[in-house]
Amino acid sequence: MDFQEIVLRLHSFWRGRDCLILQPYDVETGAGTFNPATFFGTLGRNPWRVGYLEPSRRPTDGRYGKNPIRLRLHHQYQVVLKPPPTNIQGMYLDSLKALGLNLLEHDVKFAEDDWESPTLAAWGVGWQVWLDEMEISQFTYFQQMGGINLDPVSVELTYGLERIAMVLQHVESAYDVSWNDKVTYGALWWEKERQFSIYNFESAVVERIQKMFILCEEECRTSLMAGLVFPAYDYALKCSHLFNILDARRAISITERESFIARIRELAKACAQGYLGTGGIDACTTA
Amino acid sequence: MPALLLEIGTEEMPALDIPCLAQELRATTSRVFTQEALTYRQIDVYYTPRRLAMLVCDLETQQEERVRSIKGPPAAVAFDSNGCATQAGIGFAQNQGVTVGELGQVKHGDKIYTSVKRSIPGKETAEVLLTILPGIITGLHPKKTMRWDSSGLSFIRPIRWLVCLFDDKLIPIELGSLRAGTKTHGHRFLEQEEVVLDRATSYVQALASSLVVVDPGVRESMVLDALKEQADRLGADYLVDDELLSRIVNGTEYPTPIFGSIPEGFLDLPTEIVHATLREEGKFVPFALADGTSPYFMGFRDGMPDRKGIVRAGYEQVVRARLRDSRFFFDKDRQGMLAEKVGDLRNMVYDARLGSLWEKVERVRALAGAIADHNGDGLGQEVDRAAFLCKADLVTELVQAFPKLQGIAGGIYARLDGESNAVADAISEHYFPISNEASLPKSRVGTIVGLADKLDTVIGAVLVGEEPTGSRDPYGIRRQANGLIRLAIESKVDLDFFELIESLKETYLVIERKGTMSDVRRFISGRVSRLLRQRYGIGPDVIACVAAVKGGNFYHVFLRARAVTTWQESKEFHSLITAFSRVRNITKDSTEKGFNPALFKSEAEKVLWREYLKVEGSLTNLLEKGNYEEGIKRLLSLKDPINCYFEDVLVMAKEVSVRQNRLGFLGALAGLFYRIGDLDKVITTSESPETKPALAQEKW
Repeated sequence: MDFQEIVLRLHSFWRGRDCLILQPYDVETGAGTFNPATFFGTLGRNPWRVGYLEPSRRPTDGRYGKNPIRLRLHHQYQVVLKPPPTNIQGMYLDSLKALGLNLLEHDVKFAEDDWESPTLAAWGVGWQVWLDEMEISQFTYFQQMGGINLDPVSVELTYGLERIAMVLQHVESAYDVSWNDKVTYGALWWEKERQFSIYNFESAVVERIQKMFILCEEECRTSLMAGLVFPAYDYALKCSHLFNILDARRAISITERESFIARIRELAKACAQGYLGTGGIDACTTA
Repeated sequence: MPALLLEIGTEEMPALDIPCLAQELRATTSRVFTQEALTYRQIDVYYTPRRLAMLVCDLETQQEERVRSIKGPPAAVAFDSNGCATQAGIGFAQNQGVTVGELGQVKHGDKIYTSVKRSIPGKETAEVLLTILPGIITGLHPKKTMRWDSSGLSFIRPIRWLVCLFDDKLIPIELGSLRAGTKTHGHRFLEQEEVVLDRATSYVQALASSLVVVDPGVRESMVLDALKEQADRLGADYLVDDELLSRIVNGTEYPTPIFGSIPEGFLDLPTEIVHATLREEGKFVPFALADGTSPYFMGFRDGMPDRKGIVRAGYEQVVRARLRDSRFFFDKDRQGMLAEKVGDLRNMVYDARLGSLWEKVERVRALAGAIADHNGDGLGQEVDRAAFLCKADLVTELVQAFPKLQGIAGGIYARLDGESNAVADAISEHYFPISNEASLPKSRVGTIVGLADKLDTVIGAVLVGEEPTGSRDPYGIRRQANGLIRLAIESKVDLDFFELIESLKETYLVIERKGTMSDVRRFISGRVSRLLRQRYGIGPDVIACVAAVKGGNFYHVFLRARAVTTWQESKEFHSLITAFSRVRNITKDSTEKGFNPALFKSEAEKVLWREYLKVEGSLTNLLEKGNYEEGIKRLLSLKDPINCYFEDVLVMAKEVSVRQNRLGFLGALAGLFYRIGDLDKVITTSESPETKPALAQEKW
């Protein structure tokens, strides 16, 4: 089964379970969780079911294209269900079967992993799903998002598509995965991995990135004051990505690290509060 | 006799938290059943990642009758001074439907009240269970809880089903949106997952045939047997610690061994790195061969044997990928020398109040240097180098990926950088002991750096007000202090740490303080006493004896305590204590210092003085060498002269100068004994503990 077939089957599987099928967000994100469809979708009382693909950029995970499974950009398939169905674990396992995995022949474990995103002021309880001890999914019951206690809670399923494709196609490296019957993953992504690794680890101009961070932070604040939470959130996302680049460049000392994270967290919290109309903008003007 | 089964079916619970939760279930049930007068023989608990269960064996079907006492008006109000019932007394009796003569009395606080005893007939157990079991479940306290639906329930992971059978009878308890049934779930990946139970006692067997081993002890044997068998076949050791074992045993419902191997290309990585990579997240158990390499591992699948080898191929692929990652970190770290990374510690906060790790390293160097000056066996240079490098690995990629490699990674890199073996070993060992029972550093340099590191951690924490109180010890300071003391005692470090701290107190002047150096000494001394008792089995009386002499030479405190303990049983020692007590009692309020032998009059005085000189001369030398047992033996020769002295000499002579001279001399004599401790505190076998009531009250 090729890579694009996996995406299509997941779309089809979750469409069949009342999920809206959406598209990746067009601002850099570190994970599908950062997509507004999850960040804002999990807030408030309204039921919400959504599935989408999210290319996730993690500069520190770059390996110059030399590691078979660790990538600077990997593809997540993200599903959010609010409230969580009682048979959600079974539903998730069914989706693996829909991808052609015979679960009786593999070892599947739900291994404790309490997820936390300090920058999004979010945490949840759940697992990494291990297929033959390889992490293929993150399965989380969100308890808090943007600093807000969720009621009802949401469940988030995140599939690591490269790893699942490797298992399905019996290949040892993500770069050997077939995207379709003619083009490999490596042909599409290897050179990008190499160049971005050099950029993120060695070449990004720290001073400029730091300036960009400050500009985005200010733009986020100004938008919040104008009551524009969605534009504000876009700039919070940019801050998060710029922080990740600075982190990969080792331009952030441990002391500064905490304060950078706190700054992004304040933005995310203000966006969440603004979205729910609970005075996020005031909180931000005083910040 | 009937049995009760309660099974709480969950989504996968965290492996390491399950055993605690099961013990809590047992304890809570036992407490509640006793309160509720439900009689049973025993409670067995079972658990896997997907279930927490208990079997209450031989539970009576009928609750026992209980007697409740209903409190009425105070006795003084209900009855007059003649013992006749007042209006209040009669009214209470009438309301309760008894005669005045049937009224009893109950004490509440200081007052006596009238009361009526009411017996409550026992209900059927099944009925009681229905009301108490839900509360037992919601009363459990997992470390971290979550919500999963709108019922308001919270637990460690979502509860998805309940089974509750009293013998063959369903007890339909309700919890949130769930109602208990007779249906449980077998292994997740069986075609036919649901299992209907016909009676409580068939639980273990019914699940076993559905590929679920509910008894964790059985799963542990399955895992250990598989490891032993494979290790024997390879002539190797398997490397599993309690945590890894618990992750495997409590992360599976049916552990099945999968044996795998590592390609040769990775075997040039230091074995510690290979082991850490395999053990990461509790996945694989490494095998170590006699030649030092570790080319094999074992993982445990949850489910049936892997006939097609698919799982094995998957495991091996994961291991290769992880080792590639470790190599990436290793190679990246090796691009610079360890010594070059020390500067990066300036950017790492050790504690907001205590500064960066760089500052900690500077303090550790100062302490280690001072220790080496006294006990370094000329290893001062190595000590300083090791102290300088000991924290540098905290900024390496490897330690950030595998925090448990702290110290070990530093040792590996130091060796590769060409540092001396003494320095590399010391870096590896300076965190030792990593638990109260773990082993100590083997090398002298590692011991000294380890002492300095721990001492600094304890001093720093106490000075900023983080001294542990009650169960609160967020920085694990007690463990650090225990490590320090064990190291001093068991590695025979003859050094007064309190004097050392005193000589380096300027090092800590910059810290904004909430505690003082005397708090540090008090805290550490308290730990010394506790360890002497708990770890070295010294009696509380002997500890009180040696603790009466303040000092920071922990090794010598231990030697003194051991010597006193050795002598404690002997009759001679007992009479020595009696003699000492006479000296001590008469001098205890005296401030006289010094004496003039020319003023001695009686022969007994002179005899004692000569014996004193003899003993004093040899004692100093003996005690400096730590030979306290021999020291006590020398003191024994004072016993008879002291007794004679008190028979012949009136200490409290009328003549002031004679009295002062005698008190001064006896004070000096008592001082000899105090070099061992306050012997008066020691209980010898020939006296009963009751004679020392003050001691019994002291808390240990």
